[in-house]
Parts: sequence; C-alpha cells; structure tokens
Amino acid sequence: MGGYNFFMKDVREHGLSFFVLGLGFFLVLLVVFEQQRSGVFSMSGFEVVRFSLITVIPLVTFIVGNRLIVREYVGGTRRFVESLPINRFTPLLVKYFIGLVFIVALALLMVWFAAATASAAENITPRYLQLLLMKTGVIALLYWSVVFFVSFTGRIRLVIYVVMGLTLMYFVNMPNFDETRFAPLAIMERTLFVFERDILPVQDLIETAVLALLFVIAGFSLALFNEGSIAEQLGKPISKRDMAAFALLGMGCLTVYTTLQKKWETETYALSGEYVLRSEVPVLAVSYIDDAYKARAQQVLDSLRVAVETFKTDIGLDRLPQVQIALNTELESGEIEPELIDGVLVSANFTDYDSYEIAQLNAVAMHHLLLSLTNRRWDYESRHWILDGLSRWWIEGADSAPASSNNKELLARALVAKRRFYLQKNPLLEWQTTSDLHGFEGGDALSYSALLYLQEIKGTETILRLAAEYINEDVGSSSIESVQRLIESDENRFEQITGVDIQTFTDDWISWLDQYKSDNEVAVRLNSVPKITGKVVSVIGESGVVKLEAQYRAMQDYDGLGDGLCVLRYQLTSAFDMETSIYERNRDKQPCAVEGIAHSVESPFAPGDRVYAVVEFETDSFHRPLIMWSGRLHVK
Amino acid sequence: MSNTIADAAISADSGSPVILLDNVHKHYGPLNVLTGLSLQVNKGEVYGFLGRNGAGKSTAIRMIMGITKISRGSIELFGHSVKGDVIAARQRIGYVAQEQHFYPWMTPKQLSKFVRGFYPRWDQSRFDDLLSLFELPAKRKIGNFSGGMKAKLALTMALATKPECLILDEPTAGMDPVARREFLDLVSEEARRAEATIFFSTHLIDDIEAIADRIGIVESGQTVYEGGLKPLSESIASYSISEELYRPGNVPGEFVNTAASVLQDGTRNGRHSLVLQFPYGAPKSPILDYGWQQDAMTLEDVFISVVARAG
Repeated sequence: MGGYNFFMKDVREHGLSFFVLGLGFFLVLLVVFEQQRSGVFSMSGFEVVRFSLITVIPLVTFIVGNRLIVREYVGGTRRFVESLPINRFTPLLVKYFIGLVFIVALALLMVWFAAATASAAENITPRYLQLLLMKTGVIALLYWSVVFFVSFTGRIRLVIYVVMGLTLMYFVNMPNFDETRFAPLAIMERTLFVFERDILPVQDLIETAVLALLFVIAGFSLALFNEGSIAEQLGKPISKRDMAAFALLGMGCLTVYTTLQKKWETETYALSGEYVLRSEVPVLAVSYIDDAYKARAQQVLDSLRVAVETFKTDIGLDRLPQVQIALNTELESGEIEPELIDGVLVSANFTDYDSYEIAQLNAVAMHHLLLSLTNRRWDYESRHWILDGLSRWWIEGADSAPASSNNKELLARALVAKRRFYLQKNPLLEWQTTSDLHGFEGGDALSYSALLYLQEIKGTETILRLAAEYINEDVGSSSIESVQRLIESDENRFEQITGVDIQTFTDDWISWLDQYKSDNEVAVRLNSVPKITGKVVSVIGESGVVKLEAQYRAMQDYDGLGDGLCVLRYQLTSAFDMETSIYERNRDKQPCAVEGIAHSVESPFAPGDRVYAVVEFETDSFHRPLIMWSGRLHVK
Repeated sequence: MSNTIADAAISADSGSPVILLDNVHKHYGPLNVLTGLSLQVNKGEVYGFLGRNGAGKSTAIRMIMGITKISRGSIELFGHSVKGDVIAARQRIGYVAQEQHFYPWMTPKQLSKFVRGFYPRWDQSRFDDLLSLFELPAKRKIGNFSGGMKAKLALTMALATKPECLILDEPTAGMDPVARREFLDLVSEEARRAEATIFFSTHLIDDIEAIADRIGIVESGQTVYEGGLKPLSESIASYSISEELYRPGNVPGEFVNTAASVLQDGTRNGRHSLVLQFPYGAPKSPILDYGWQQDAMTLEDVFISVVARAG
C-alpha cells in the first residue's frame, strides 16, 4: 500500500514533466532522423540510436535523476517521508523502478522508431531488432543505475559526473588501449552496435548488467547507510567552501588531463635505421627499405623538400611539423595511407612511381601537413576544396604549374569529372559529395584546376592570401569571438579575399575548364575515356549467394567505348559510411559494354549489408583509374 | 541520570508508560549527542520535554520515532521495543516535526490523499474539520503557506491519524506569542478530546507552563529532572546578599543544611546569590541571617538553575 502511494505520488509529481521530457526527446530524435535522412551519406537509421544513446539519453537520464531523487533531498521532503509509517527502502525502490521504466521504455521506443524509419531502406530482421533492443535496454539500465547512485551524492554529483567523464575520456584516448574490449564500451562499439545482425554479445551484456547492479547497490547503500545521514548531508545546498574545493579539484583534474594529453601527444613515431633519407630543415624523412629504392626515395624527398621549404617561406611560417614518408611494399601502388602521428606520416609503395605519382604522394603529405598545421580546422566541408587544391597546386610547382605535363593530365581528369557535374548545384561547396562522386584523385584534379583558374584571374598572391587566411586562422580569444568566426561563412571569406563571389567563380571556372577540351594533349586523354556512366545492383544468385551486377549506359555525346577496361570495385561500408576510396582489393575487370550486364560477381555479402561500390575506367592515358559511377547499395 | 531529584521524580509513575527511554546513548562518530537519557511518558499525560537548543531533544524524538538508531540503551513504545515493528508503532503516533517538509506542490487535499494510505485509522472527516477549524485552504499549494500554517497543517495531519500518542518537536518554534498560545491551546484541546498522550519538546518555559502535566529536562544529552513542574519550582529557592556584606563561607541561615544541592553560587547585579535545591521543598519562611533576602524566582530562573548546574 505504501509503495503504491509513493508510486502514485511520484506519478502525480513528475508525470507531466516526464511526458514533456519524452515528447521533447522524440522531437530531437525526429530532427536527428531528418538530418540523417537528408544527409549526403545515407547512414543506417540505427546510427541515430547509437548517437542518441551517447548524447541525448544520458542527458534525459540526468534530468530524471535530478527530479526523482535530488529534489527530494535538496528540498528536504525526504525528512517528511521518513517520518511516515513506511520503511526507508520502499520509497527508494519505487523511485528506482519509475526511473528505470521511463528511461528503458524511452530507449526501446527509440529503437522501435528507428526500426520503423530504417525499414524503408534496410532489411530489419527480428533477430537484428532483438539485438538492438537488448543492447539499448542494457545500456539504458546502466545509465539509470549510475544516475541513481550519483543522485544520492547531492552537491558533489556534478563533480562525480565530471570525474567519471574524464576517466572515460582517459581510457578512450589512452594510446595502446582498446577500450572496446571491455563492457559497456564493447557494446557501444561504433560498427558492431549498429551493424551486427546475428551475434549477441552475451558476456558484454551480462558484465554491463552486473556493473549496473553494483551501482544500484551502491546507491541504496549510500541512501540507507548511517540512517541516510551521508546522503542527507550531501543533499544540503552547496557552500562557498564546497565551491572552492570543487574549483581546486577541477583545476587539479584539468592539470592531470592536460599533462596526460601532452604525454599522449608526445608519443613519437620516428622512422629509424640506415634506410632513411632525412632533411633537417624542413624536418622530413623518407624510408626506403632497400638500396634498390634509394634513388626513388631521394626523388620523393627532394621534391617534397623544395615544396615544403618554399611554402614555409612564402606563407611566412616559423616552423612546420615533421613529415615522414614510409615505404611499404605491401601496399598497392595506388594506395596511400596518411596519418597525423607526431606530425605527418604517409605510407605508400612508391617503388615504381614516376613524377606524376610522386607529386600525388607529396600532395597527400602536403594535405596532411596543412591539416596538422590547422589542427584539422581546414577539414570542414565548405573550405576543404581549397585545402585539396592548394596541396596539389603547390606540389605541382604553383607558378610554373601550367607548363608541367602533370597539369594536362589533371585538367583532363577534371574534365572527365565535369561530365557528372549535373548531379550537383555547386561542386566546390558540396565537396564531400564531389569527393564521393569522383574519388580523391578526381577531387584533387578539380580543386587543382579551380585554383589554377583563380591564379589566372587573380594572381598567385591571392591564393597565398587565401591559404594564409586558413593557416593563420584565429579561433578567437573568447567564446563569443569563436562563435563569430563560426558564423562567418567560408563563402564570404572567399569573396572578401578574392573579390569574387563563389558562385560566379564556380560558373566561370567551369567555363574556363571547358576551353582545355581543345588543348591537344588534354583532348587525347579526354577522348580515351568513354562517355558512359554505370550502376551497380545486388541480386541473389541461383545458389543463394549475393551477386553484384554492374551495367553501363551511354551519356550525352557518347562516341564509343575507348581503349581501356571497365573495373568494378566494392567493399562493405564502415559504420560512418564516409568512404571515398575502396580499400579492399576486390576487382572485376571487363571490357566496357553499354548493353547488358558488364560485371556479375559473386560477393561475400549477406542480405542486410551495406556496400560501397565503384565502377572505374582504366586506361594508359591516365595514371590512375577514373570513376564512372560510385554509390552505396543495400543488399536485400 | 544520576541526580537525586530526577530519581525521585521518576518513581512517581501514574500509569503504564507509552514512551519509555532507558539510559539511551547516541553518538555520531566521536560526537556524543545523548549520554544516558531516561524518561517515561505515561498514558494520557501531557509531557513537556524541556532543554536548551542543542541539548539533544530532536535527536531523542527522532529515535523515539525510529528514524534514528540508538547507539546504546533502549526505547519502548506502547510496551514494545522501537527496534521491533516501528511501522506499526508509527501508525499509532501523530508526529509534528520541528520543521515542516511537506511537498510544496501538494495541496492539503492532495496531502491527505497521499498520507491516508499509511494510517489505517485515518479520519478524513476529522482532517477536513480541522482544516476548517485552523482556517487552512484545502486547495492552495502548501508551498505558499506560512510557517505557522504549515505547523497547523502538520498538527491537522497528526490528529487525523487518530493517534494514541502525539509527539511534537518544538511545534511553536518561530511563532509569535499569540499564535503560539493559540496553537498550544488547540493541541491541548484536540488531544484531550482524542484522549491521546502528548509528548512535546520545547525550550520555552511558557509552553510548558501552559499545558504540561509533567516535564523532563534534558541537558548535555542527559535527563537532569523529570517530574511535575510545581514540585520542581517549590524545591528551589534563591537567596542573595549585597557584595559589601558578603564574606566567603557566608550562608543565609542554618536551614541550608537541609538543602540537597547548590545549583548556583555567584555574583549578579552587585549581589551575591545562592540558589539551593531542597529534597522535600524549600522552607516557606526560613529565618535568614543579617543582610540575606529570599528572591522571587520565575519558572525560567528555575529552569536556568537546573540546567546551569548540569552544564
């Protein structure tokens, strides 16, 4: 009877608030779903579930804990409750279950909602749904149990949340520690949480539930220990002394965190041994494994040294991070793997690179050097084309670029990419889509040509000013200034520096690019690429195996299939589905054909998988294949 | 409880005890709050529990209610240990705390709806009647009530449970004298109508004087007196002499040899005064030596003397 009374009291007290909270939660969810749906990349609907579990659900749980428990202690109503003829345990138990049911129900409804949304594009099997429901439910159980415990710590609860958050960040950021091997982080692993369709992580679920139980026991113990006097003391309003203690604790945590972060950052990765060529100023290193490749490594180093040195001088930089290029003969010739480790580290197999490919390799190194310099701020989509273009333009020799033979190949590649410009409003501003449609080589060629045009109409100085704008970008000395910088659009900044409106610039650049169609060298390359586009679909073969089939169709002004091969490449998408390159080495090379199915391959995929597929054209006229079509498909 | 007055007074039991505390100790770590509290509240009486602020009154009451645990000693309610079925005991008690912590969003009507489920003998019509009597609005949020209104609501709630024993922890704290007297009259009247035993704590002599049949005085966590108010005031007398005439060792007369103890011996307002306690009552008209006079004592003086000695 007492428990029921408390249940009804809590429902009356919090029912409306929880209803509004739930409604708000689903409105936020709707917005996130809508953003996800209209995004450039069609991620899985369940990605939203994981996103909400990391962001919105903890916030909702915190609010529920605040209302259900903290208020009772801070407001002193607990003293009224404890004088009633009821044991201490029952009101707490009622509160625990009300919170648990609300949070878990909200989380499970979210999964159901996501399933309903995702089912339009994905095959949602009962098993898949069951896995997601169980994982979400257990995580929600853990969240509420943690909040239940921490809520009894009254005025120090915020400090505890911060300490918990920092501890979590410590483990997540700790080098050489794979946090996803341990529950509950194992359940939340970005790929498995969303895309695992069959295997139930039983051990992780049990461990998470046990962890939740420990928090519940800790919560009840804290609330009941010493007649609840500890929880009552902690429930008192925060004093000035507490504030001072918290400030000291906060500063201490910050110091520890900063020190640790510095320690992590100073983890070095240095090429060593006798097979390394070095440059002291600027700091560069190229490894070559065997004397047979020393000459090629020297070529890579010399070309990069000239580019980086002049860049440093022309932009007026004091110092640059080191760049290391490691020869990795296990990679395919076209595979270039850049990382931001202790400066820039690029791995590639440059054993048979010619000057075009060396320039491409160094452009990737330059690209990451600029990213490192700007602490990745140059990574944003609306300015990324400048980063890509500048990297290649600089490596190609900036002022002398139009004369190089690479220049003609890049312009021809840009013109091939231009054939599919009808898919976009502005290929420069929608750079993520541009890279997706044409691959990073196509993107490089387009942005390079755009900067070449800018150089022609405004001069080299303007490009240098544009580069300096982003390299020396001041994020602002206060949060207001930072926000002001964010509000200022890249389009405006481009116009301020160049004096040209970005849309006008784009239109003029495209027209300018067209004039190169009549350049002999460009035209030869261009004419070697057939005016075709493709499409890849998945079908279930007679043997029940999923097959990928690709067809080509003629585009406007189609004039034959050219002298090359059509290649189908594919791979499973990652959780964030951001591929602009295929890393898997699956290939199906066939003569191109505009009638019938050109490629039909048995794949390792299963219904429910999401696959990124590309059809390319390989020809001797270009160093790297040209993308004819790329897209994502859902295997059904 | 080691003094003779309290020992003597406790023996004056007038019925079966509703509340019985025997040598109760309570400590929070190294802090001793109660160091041997004993008292006995008999059925039907109004018991005033008197003590200075911080003497341990509220702690004692919270232990009687079973909210706070006993470190040592024993407490019995209605003849049963409070360590047993405290919920059943609480259902027979109407409790008014020192500070009211009702849910501010509730109205008295909602409060009664919430609370009545806990008390099998809840009388809704009595609750409604008392609300009218105390002029408390049934549909206004309690968060908007004044301190006095909240205290009245707490009393209303306590009485509506049809308690066998009413426990009030400094119920008039913070009230003005008129409201205080009104409140105490209501307590007295309503409790007597319900034939309930009343145990109330206070640090105000006036409250005690107004309604208490018997009192217990607590100081430094111990009972220093338990019994009637009249016997206490009649057992204590104060004598004084001007400082010019006072010589160390001087006493008011030979009758002081019958005194049980000296409660105070000191100088105040230019006079040396001596407060004495007599086991069988202070002499009505003692023969005083030259310069000595007997001073009139208020109940407050009596209380201060008793507490001062214990302190």
